[in-house]
Amino acid sequence: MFNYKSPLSRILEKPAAKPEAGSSAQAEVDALNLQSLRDTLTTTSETSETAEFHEDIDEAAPVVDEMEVAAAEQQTERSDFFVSQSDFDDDDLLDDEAAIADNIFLESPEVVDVPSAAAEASGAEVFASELQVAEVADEVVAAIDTTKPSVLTLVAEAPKATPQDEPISTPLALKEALEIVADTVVTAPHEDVEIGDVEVENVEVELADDNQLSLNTPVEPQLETAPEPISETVVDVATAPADVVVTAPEPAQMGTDVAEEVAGLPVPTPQPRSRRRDRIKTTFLGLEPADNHLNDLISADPVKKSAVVNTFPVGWLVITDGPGRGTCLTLTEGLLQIGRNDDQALQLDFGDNGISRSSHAVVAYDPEERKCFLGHGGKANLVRLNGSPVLSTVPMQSGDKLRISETTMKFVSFCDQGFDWRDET
Amino acid sequence: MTTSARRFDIALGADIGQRDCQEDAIAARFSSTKDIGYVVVADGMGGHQAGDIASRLVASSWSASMDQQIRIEAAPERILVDALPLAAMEANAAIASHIEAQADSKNMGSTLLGALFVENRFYWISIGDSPLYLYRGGVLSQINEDHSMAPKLDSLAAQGLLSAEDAHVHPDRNCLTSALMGGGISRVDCPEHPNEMREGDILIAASDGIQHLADAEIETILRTENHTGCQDILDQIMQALRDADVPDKDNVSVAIVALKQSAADSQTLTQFETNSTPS
Repeated sequence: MFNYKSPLSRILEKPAAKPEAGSSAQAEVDALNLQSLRDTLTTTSETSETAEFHEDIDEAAPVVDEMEVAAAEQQTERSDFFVSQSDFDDDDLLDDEAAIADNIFLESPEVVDVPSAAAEASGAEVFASELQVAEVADEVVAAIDTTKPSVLTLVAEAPKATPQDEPISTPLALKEALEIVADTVVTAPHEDVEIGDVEVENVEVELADDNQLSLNTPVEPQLETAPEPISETVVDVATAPADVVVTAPEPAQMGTDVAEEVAGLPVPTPQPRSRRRDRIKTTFLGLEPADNHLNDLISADPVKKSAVVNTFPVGWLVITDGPGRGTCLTLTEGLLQIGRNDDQALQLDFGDNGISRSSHAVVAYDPEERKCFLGHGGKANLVRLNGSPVLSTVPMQSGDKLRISETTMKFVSFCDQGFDWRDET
Repeated sequence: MTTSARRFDIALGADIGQRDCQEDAIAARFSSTKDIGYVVVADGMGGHQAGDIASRLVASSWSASMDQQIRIEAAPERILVDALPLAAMEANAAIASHIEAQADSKNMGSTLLGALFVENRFYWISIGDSPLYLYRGGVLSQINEDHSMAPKLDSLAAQGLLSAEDAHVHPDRNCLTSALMGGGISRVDCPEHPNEMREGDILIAASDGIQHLADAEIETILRTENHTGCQDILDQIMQALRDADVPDKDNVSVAIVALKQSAADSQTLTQFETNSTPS
């Protein structure tokens, strides 16, 4: 609904704007390559094999979306919007709601499309790079290397993984790539528009597949490969998609597993490492009870999916008031959407219907600043942080109180200046 | 609690001052069937008419969003209150859209001061330096946050790090620390809880042009015109502003809201008050 730079984009832009000193050079190189790859986008995007990777691509998509939405939006609907705006500019202030309302409605469909288009674009990019893995791999590796050396070898070994590596294992690289995409969009609008349109359909289809796939093989592939955060991810990428494709082609029930998987999906960029571990269900509640006695209150509600514990947490949200009081939601890296639906990474389905089904608000951990950020979900939903409405992305501090509708949560940080999973042990 | 059989006395005014264009926008709407209404003031910036456009965009899109909520029958008050920031997001989005479409309007932006009145309660959202004053018991005080450098300079002056005079004429004094510019909004003043509006209270929402008058001057006007209605107060304030000996006088927009005197209330309003509910 909001033609507004979404919170995630802001978070992503931030690091992108100030890339780490060490990696900036490679990032640029990488960027150049990506751009060239990108040119081949249109032709390669519909390749059948791409479907295999869509699960991961989709995961990356939300992040990409935001970035590109910002760029794409600006190009397309904004202009429409403005036209309308200018119309009502001349109108009486008090009587132009209709015009505005129209504008808003006009916007919204487009906005909706844009993300998916953006996602596709990114996906397409990924594919393109995939095709040219041989050429790109070195560059990508270079970029990746700065942050996570182990990725390098993996990439070389598993070309398929490469496309996903970029988005997943190296947030910086991804961001760079995204930026490039955004730039490209700006410079070559027609191309992007076409690509976006074409690919949107593909993506949606593929998404469905992914869900199904994940249903059947939600945990296993990832679990197998889980090890340490960074390097493992690449391995997973290589193996997981293949497994998924093989195992679960038919669409099916949306089980809780799927939900979990989906919930994981919005967690894009750096997520995978922790994701793999998320699937180790045997670690249930391993981190919670010891230091958080609020969880003792959980008994009021049966354990729902949202109580599933993820590993590599960056923090927690504990419901301190309202439906679901006593429930702890574990925050991991990536973009976490808060909503009632079971595809939401942070599902708040405890009876507070004032919470949107999808993306009422978002939380994302920024590994550069080592802070969790809170943003509104890009729709007409309100979230308050310590009583103040969140109109843009704001950092959270341990102890902060979030309120959505009737639900109040307390944020507890885990990763901060003193600790991050990327730190050497 | 009193019943909702109250009415608001409202007056709006604007003056271009000595500027080339009017970069303020002001609007108000009060329901004829419910004791609900709002005023909004936006003070634009950006030059080349961008400030003009920005403030109108903000005021109009914010108003439109609020209108949608106000039109809803029996909308819970909480929804209305939440609509304040949501409408601000809409307004910010409108700015963003315009900036995207018009490359030469990059630095356009606007303050936003929106006040919502529900029966004998009021709420506000404030982004920027447009002041919201409450006159109560003979005392005028600004009740919203001032998102400009002025408070910081005054604080420095209070600490003795800066002379009061230097703080007052500091070139950065009017620099905003928060505004709607289509992107992130660094500070938002939007209290969650209602403020009571009492009989005799006068609320003034204005652009910072009104600060060509010292608080004491405004207070004096309010004290003398207190019982003659908001229009008289407004006239006096605007006249005082015109008379003020200030170079490069800024645009000014002023909205004045008070509860009507209950005596007049009971006579003129009973016929309309069919939908009102006890608070």
